[in-house]
This record gives sequence, structure tokens and C-alpha cells, in this order.
Amino acid sequence: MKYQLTLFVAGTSGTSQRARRNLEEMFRQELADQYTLEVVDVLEQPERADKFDILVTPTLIKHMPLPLRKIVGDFGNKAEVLLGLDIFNKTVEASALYTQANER
Amino acid sequence: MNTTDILYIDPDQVQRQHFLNCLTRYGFNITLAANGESALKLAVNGAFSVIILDQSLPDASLDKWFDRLRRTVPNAIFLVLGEQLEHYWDSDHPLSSAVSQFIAKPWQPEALAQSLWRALTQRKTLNDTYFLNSVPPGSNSQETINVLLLEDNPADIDLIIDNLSRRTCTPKVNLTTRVTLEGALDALGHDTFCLILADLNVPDSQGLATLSRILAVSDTPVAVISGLENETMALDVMQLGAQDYLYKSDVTQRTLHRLIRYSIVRQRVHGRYQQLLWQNPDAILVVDDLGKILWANPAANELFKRGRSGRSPLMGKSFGYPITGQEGTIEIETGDQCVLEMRQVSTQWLGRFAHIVCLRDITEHKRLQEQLQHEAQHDVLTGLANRALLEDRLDFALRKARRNEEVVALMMLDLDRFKMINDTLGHDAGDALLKQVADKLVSTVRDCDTVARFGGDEFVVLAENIHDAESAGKLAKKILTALEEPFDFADTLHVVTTSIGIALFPKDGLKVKSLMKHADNALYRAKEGGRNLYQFYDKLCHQRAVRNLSLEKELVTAIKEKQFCLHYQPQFSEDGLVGAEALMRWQHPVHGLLPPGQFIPLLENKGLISEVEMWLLGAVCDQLVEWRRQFGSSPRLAINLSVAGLHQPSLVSFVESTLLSRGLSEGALTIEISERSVLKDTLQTSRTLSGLANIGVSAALDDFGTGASALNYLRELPSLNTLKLDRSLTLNASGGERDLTILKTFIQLAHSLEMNVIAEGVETMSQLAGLHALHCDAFQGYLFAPPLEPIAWRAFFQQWQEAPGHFSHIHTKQSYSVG
Repeated sequence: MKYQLTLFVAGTSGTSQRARRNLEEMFRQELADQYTLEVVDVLEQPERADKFDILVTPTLIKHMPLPLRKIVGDFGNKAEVLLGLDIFNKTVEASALYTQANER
Repeated sequence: MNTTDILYIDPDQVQRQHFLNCLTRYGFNITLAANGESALKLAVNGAFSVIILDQSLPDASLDKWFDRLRRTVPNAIFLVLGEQLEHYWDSDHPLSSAVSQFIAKPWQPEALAQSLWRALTQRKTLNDTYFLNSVPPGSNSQETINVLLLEDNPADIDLIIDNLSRRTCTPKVNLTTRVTLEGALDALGHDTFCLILADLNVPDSQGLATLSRILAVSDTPVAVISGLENETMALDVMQLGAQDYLYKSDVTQRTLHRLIRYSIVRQRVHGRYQQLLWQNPDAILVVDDLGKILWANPAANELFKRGRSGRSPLMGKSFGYPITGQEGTIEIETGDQCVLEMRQVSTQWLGRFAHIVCLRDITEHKRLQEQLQHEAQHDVLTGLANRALLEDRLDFALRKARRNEEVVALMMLDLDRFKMINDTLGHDAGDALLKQVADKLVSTVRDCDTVARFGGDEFVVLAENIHDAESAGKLAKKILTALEEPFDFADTLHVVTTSIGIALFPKDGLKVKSLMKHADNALYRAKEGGRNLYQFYDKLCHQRAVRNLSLEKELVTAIKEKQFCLHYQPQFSEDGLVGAEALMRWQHPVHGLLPPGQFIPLLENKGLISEVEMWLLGAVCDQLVEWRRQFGSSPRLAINLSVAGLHQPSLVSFVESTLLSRGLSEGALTIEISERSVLKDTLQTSRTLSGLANIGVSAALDDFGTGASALNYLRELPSLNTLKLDRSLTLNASGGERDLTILKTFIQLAHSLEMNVIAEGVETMSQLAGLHALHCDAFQGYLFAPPLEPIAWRAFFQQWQEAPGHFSHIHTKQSYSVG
């Protein structure tokens, strides 16, 4: 099953662009073509932002596979993002970080 | 601020006065007493914070009065002053624990004041934790606290009143009773209470709802009393925020007082932590593992209220899993963004895994950071990009151009004579001009081009994705035209011209540094070429410039080591050899023999030309002497003098002494000058030439026909003997009718002014024939001989002496060139 993800950003601010770049690079590496990433500008589609309680941008929502996950930030910290999305079986480093995070 | 009342007891009147004098200035309000009895009288009526006893009260009397004073004013701080304090240090001494401080005499006022302040501060802290310490038995403290009782059962009200009203209890309780929740809430609105004692089941409200309503309106601690023994209920009550829970069956005087005291203390302790969260300027959220908000502090509610999506309460909304150390934004209704710094720690919250999220508004910080970055990359005066940013953009543009095989043009601009504007009209005018030029540049170039200022009047335009050199030239032309329009500054319209140097990627350079250097080089040439024009970078020109630069450096050594030498080119007339022109050469250790064109301009630039010319003058004279010795005679020698050389004040006397010292007679030397030096200062030139004529040195006008040739100066220079036709005119001699007419006119003009005419650069027989027909007097050129070095000259001269002849027996140049 493909990962279905939606990224909520606001306009073309630096943070928004950085988040988008970070995610695209990370997903290309980790999920190859096994994902779809939709980018929603909350300024253009506020009703969609409301539907998902988008309080802060950038916010990423993983719709599929379940469970639904919602993470906030510019996604520069790859290990934490993967952890937040329950994607940690791809690389050894990520799972090692996950273990570390649990120990903490 | 309240002043501190101090009671000082000392039998010695001098000491009392001294104390008063010293400590009043520290803001203490001092009352003096001479003995214990009067002190006690004063203490009963006054509100003393500090009581100070002097040890000089007899020892037994000190103990006695101390005890009585302490009972009268239990909250006061006691200090003892004295000279022998050692025995108080024994902890068994009755005073050692009751007295705050023992201070040794003689005391320093400053130190004593500080001790007093310290003791007062400690007392204040102690007062805060007053309820933590049990009140000493037998104390007659007057403290009363207000308690609100919510209870509808008359029997239970009596129970409470009965247990609270015993006289032995402290603190004294002032009880206000309400039988309904509404009544209690109303009382909370009007009075201040230290504690609310509440039965949660009252006629108008039941159970936890009662507590919630009270907590919603008041931060007064709540202790619950209940008729039901229900542990689950007790826990719920405590979790909701009550400070204690007591079953009515357990109510005794002791438990009730304990409940009151501890509830108040707990509220105070708890209140501090609550304060940290509630008044924290950072937004603090607790979110569960799925990102749902479990708790939010007021700052968080305020923060999200500014955003579009945070108007409804936060509790229960989904925030998301926050990633530490990153930034997020909230869209504010005004269209602005609020930038947040986010941090999170994982924790347990009510037994579940959760995250505490701290959000800090860093919008202003970010704005400043961006402003700083902007300032670091832009020119303050014009707002254009500065060197750092331009180099950055250029680097980026070059990468892109390399990938897409595009052309990039880098243009360096420089306002002609900007320094003069700055110097004459002031820096304000200069700045105003720079700003206007910046605006004009920005509006002239395309949006995708970058305009930068490197400081001074140096502007740079980076034009990306240029089609070819031609379109770069078009843009440069457009800029020049735009900048030709007058600028309005210093209350006047000024016309300013600009020079532009262009370097193109990839033709002229592949790197930022080389492109900049080459554009700069092209700019230099544009300025040299007469300003108000643009120049492309030219590799050959650049190489020449580089070579000139190194030659320029080597000139000083060349002069010192006499690396210059002279070659001689003969001049012939109908009658034979009439003279020779001495021509300078530089015997360069690396480049070999260099002709004058390659180094004379450099000597002129460096201001060294006169020095070399004066050496040359001596060398020519030496050569004349040498030839006369060798051959018995010598032709007249002509030497070239530069503008600087001609206008040297001591020229005439120098030439005279040079000739005299070598015993040379009149007529040995001719000075050749160019039109340029004549035009510079005709009057001065005239004087110098007549001075030279007086000592028998004649003058020739060199390169005639190349310059402006404003002929009227010929009239003003009667001392000119000879006119030398430039080689370009000589070429005309084999030309058409019109060319010949011009030549003829010049020669006739010279003759009518009584001047000889020598044609330079005569290379063919037909030129010679043409010139001869026009009555040109003498000829110089490769047709006769090239410039000859002294050895070759000897061969030439000897041969000529053996067979002197008519110029038509010409010697070809090959005969004398020395391999």
C-alpha cells in the first residue's frame, strides 16, 4: 500500500519551502515511489486546514497506512520525522534512533 | 515604601544619640529608650519590626526585659549589641536561639544597616511560610483568617462553628456561612477569603459540578467536607483541584485546624507552580501521543486566538506530534505570519505517554535576523546588492548558465569624474547622485538582472540569460543612454557620463573572480578610450595591460642600470646626408629590444620621462663627440622631447651646459617636439624654443599631420626650423591628385614660413619621387636606412663618406641592417 501524505504549508515562506524540500528528499530516499504527497496551501484552502485542525504550519498528515499521524515542524530532523510517521523499518539508523528515543 | 520602625534600648545617652545619628540616614525610623521599663511602654503602643538591646543593660535585667519585650512584640526581630558576646554563642544560653543576631561593638553604621536589612528580609520569607511552622504555644497572636463555609445542614454548620471557636486555637477563624452555591459565589465576589470549606451537595448544586463552579471563579483554596465516606469521590475532588477532603465524621478541633492550615499552605505552594505555567509568556501545551491537546496554558490560548484556526478552545483539538528545535508558523488574520520556535519533551501525563510542547513567538527575532542578513548583503546608501551578494548571485548564475549553456554578462560601471562631483559639491551631493543612478539602473535593466554597488561610484550589473555579445552591448548602450539624462541634485541639473566594461561568460571567464577582473579591465579601457562608452573585455588588450604593468615596474631598474640605448636613422636631402634622428630603444633583459612605443607612454605615466630624456641628451652629445673623433665630422642629430621634457624650467640651461661641457658647437643638435606639447602651452613653448635657438639648437615639429593641426600655432612659433611630415602624409605622395594637393599645400606653407620639410617613413621610390617633385627638402625612411645601432652606423657612415652622393644613389636598408 502506498503512503498517502498531505503537507499543509502557508504561502511560499522560507519555512514552507524548506519543509517541502526536506520531505520530498526524505521520501524519495525512504519510500521510493511508494507514496503520494499532496501539498495544501492553507491560505488558499482554509476549509481543508480546518478539517484537520491545522494550528501551525508546516504540518504533515499521514492518512494511510493507518493509524493517522500528524506531525509539525520543518522536517529537518529525518529520524524524528520517520519516527513520528511510524516509518522506521527502512534504515538501520532510523530504527537505532527509535530505540534511543525510547530509552530517553 | 514603608519605613522600618526600630526600638533601640541603651542606658548610655551618648551611645543612643550616636545610634540615632548613624542609622537615620539609612531610612530607619528610630525610637530610643534608656531602660527596659520605658522600652516596654513604647513597645506596647508602637509597631516595631526590630528591637535592639545593648548589652550594657545589666545582664540579668537584659534577660528579663528581653523576655517581656518578646512577649509584647512577638514578630519583631531582636538584636543584641555588645563587646563581650562569646557566652551567647553557647547554644544553651536562653538568648542564643531567640536573638537573630549578636553584633560586636564598636559597630560600623554601614555594616549594621546591612545586617538589619538582611534580618528583615529573612523575616519576610519566614512570614510567607508562617503556616508551615506551628505557632508557639501560649502566643497571643492576633492573626485572624477569613473562611467561607458552604453548608446547608444546620447541624453540620454548628459542628464546624463549635470546633473552630475554641479559644486555644490559632489562627483565629472569622467564618462566613452560605447555604447555597449561588450565595457562596456571590460572597466570593464581594470578600476575600483564605479558604473555602465546602459541602459539595447543596440545594442548588450537587457533586463535582459545585467544585468546578467555585474553581472557575476563584483561586481561593477549597477544602471539601463530606457526609459520605467515598474514596473515589475524594480522589476525583482532589484531581479536580481541591486542596483537601475531610469526612464529617472525622471533624475534630484538631483535624479541622489542620485542614485549614494545610489547605492554605498547599494552595500557596501549588500556586507557585501554577503561576509558572499560567503566567509563562511561552505557550505551553500538553499533547497526547496522537497529538491531541490535553492541556494548554493561557499564553497558548492567546497565541492561537491570533490565528485563524484557534478561535475555539484548544483543549481536545489535534495539534500533532511536534518535532523539537524546529520552526512553525501561525497564519494571523491580518495576513501576517507569526513564527514559532517549537520544543517538546516526552513525559507522563495522568499516567499516559504525552509530550509537553513549548512554543515561543520568535517573529520579531526572525524579522531582525532577516534584517541583519539583508543589511549584510546590501548597500546601505542605495539599497542595491553589495559585493558579497553579487558574488553569490554571480556564482549561482554561472552554475546555471553552465548547465543550460547560457551566456551571462557582467558589467562594471563607473561614473566619469565622480570624484570631482564629490570633491566640489560635497558628499551629500555625491550620495544623492549615487542614489539616483541606482534607481535609474534598476529601472533600466530587466527584472531578472541584478544591480549592485561595490562602494564609491562603482556599480555592477549582472545580466543573466543574455543571448549573445550583441545583446549585452545593446543593454550597455541602453544603460548609457538612460544615464545620459541629466540628474537633479545639489539644486541643479547635472549631466553625468558613465563608462562600462563588459565580460561575458563563458567567453571571457568561467569563474566569478576572473569575470570580475576582466570586466574591471574592460572598464579601465572604456575610461581610457574617452569615457561615456562601453567596452568588451579584450584578451589581447588585457595581456598588453598585464605586460605594461610589469614593464612599468621594471622601468626603475632600467634607468638605474642604463638599459636604454640609441639607434640612429639617417636623413637625406638632394645634397646627401643632412642629419639623423636618434631613437631610443630599451634593451630589456627578457623581452629583448623594445621600440619606444612600448615604453615611452609608461615612462610618461610614471613621470620618469624627463629623467630619461636628459640622460638621452647627454648620450647623444657623447655620440656626436665620438663620431667627430672617429670620422672628423658628424651629421646633425635630432632627439625627441616629450611634453614634460620640453616644459622643464631648466631645459635651456641644461642643454647649453651639456653641449658646452663636450665642446660641441652650434648646429649640432635638433630638438623634435610633437604637436601635443606645442598645444599644451604655446607661449611657454615659444619661449623655450627661442631660448634653444639662441644657443644654436634648432627645433622640428614631429608627426605633422596626425593631430588637430591647428595651423595658427605655427605662426606663434617663429623658432621652429623644420616640419616633419608624418608617415601617413608620406603615403599620400604616391596617391591621387587631392592627396598631392594637400601635401603640396603643407610643403608650401612650411616654405613660406621659412621652414624645412622632412618627410618621414619614405619607403618607396614613387613616394620619394612624388615628394621630391613637391620640393620636399629632406627624407627619412627604410628606403634609405632603418634606424641603425652605433656599429651599423659606422659601417653606413664610412661607406657614405667613401662615396658621398646624390640621394638618388640610395642605399637600400638591407645594406646596413645588422643581423
